[in-house]
Amino acid sequence: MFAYQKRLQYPIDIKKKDLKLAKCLLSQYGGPYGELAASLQYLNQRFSMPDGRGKALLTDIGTEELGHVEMICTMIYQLMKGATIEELKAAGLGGQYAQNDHALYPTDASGVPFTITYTQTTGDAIADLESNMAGEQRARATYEHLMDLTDDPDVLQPLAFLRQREIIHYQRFKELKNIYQKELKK
Amino acid sequence: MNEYMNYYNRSIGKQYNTEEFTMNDWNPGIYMNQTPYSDAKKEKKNSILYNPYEGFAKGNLFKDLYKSYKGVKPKILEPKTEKMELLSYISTYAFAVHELNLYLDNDPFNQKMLEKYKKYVEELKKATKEYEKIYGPLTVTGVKQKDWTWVNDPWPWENN
Repeated sequence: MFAYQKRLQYPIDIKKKDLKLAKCLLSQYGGPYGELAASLQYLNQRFSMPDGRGKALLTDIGTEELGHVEMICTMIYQLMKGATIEELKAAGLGGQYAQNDHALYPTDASGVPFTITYTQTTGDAIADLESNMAGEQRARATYEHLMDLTDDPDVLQPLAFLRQREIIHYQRFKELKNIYQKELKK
Repeated sequence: MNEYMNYYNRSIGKQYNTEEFTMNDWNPGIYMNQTPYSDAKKEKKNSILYNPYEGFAKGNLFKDLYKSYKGVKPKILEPKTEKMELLSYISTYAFAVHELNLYLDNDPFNQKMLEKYKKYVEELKKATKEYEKIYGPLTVTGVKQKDWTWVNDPWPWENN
């Protein structure tokens, strides 16, 4: 069961419209290394974790990633707020307007729709956790690229926060993988 | 100003300085050089954890895992209203609770961490109760007003 909390994990209040940046941020919404893929991947993998520690960790990180989907959507929404059709066209978002108006729709930065094939599940705890560690590193790298693309502190702060979260998740997955590997040897 | 805003204005001032909820030294603007609240003062210098406030700003409660990028200095938004200030306080403790939650998943018998976890949960519960009483629900079961305030704006993705 999931229950919604009416707040963001970290506050976001972007005042400056920036459509080109909004387009880039889509990568972390519906892109291959994005938050949506991460969340679904962990929430699927948890069913086949070997014990309570794994089931808990995958549930808890998968749930946090849903909160990150919300943060990314919030950033895109606020960056696009009040954009005119001309501005959208100039930023390469004409297609986005034609299909979705100002609504949110999970695609990558080039407009390719989200697909569940971005997620991996093998049923093997070690393979799944290694895959998650790699996923967290890819997401960290993507956040660094996004931080390279902006000087707006209203955007940089939440991006820096999200980047740190990938570092923590990587560490926790690595710890769990090491625990399982040690115990499997016995 | 909607009816709900009136409720908020009536309650503020009266509610804010009650003895059961002591937020007087909570000042999110100054964390970099000072330790604005009691937990931080008690925190040992050699602790492996940041205090909840610094941890929240950094997105990371664990000192040995923090790595900044491009010298971006962690700084959270300065709350513009008392409502936002209380929400920041809640988010700060919710974050510390979540960090210890993930840690304990891998190390469930760590009594020291569990103790800390319970302490932060208490602070989170107290602040959440206060917030919901004054400003409206954070979860759907938290409606304390006579009206159905769950539907009130703003929602989290809207500029505050």
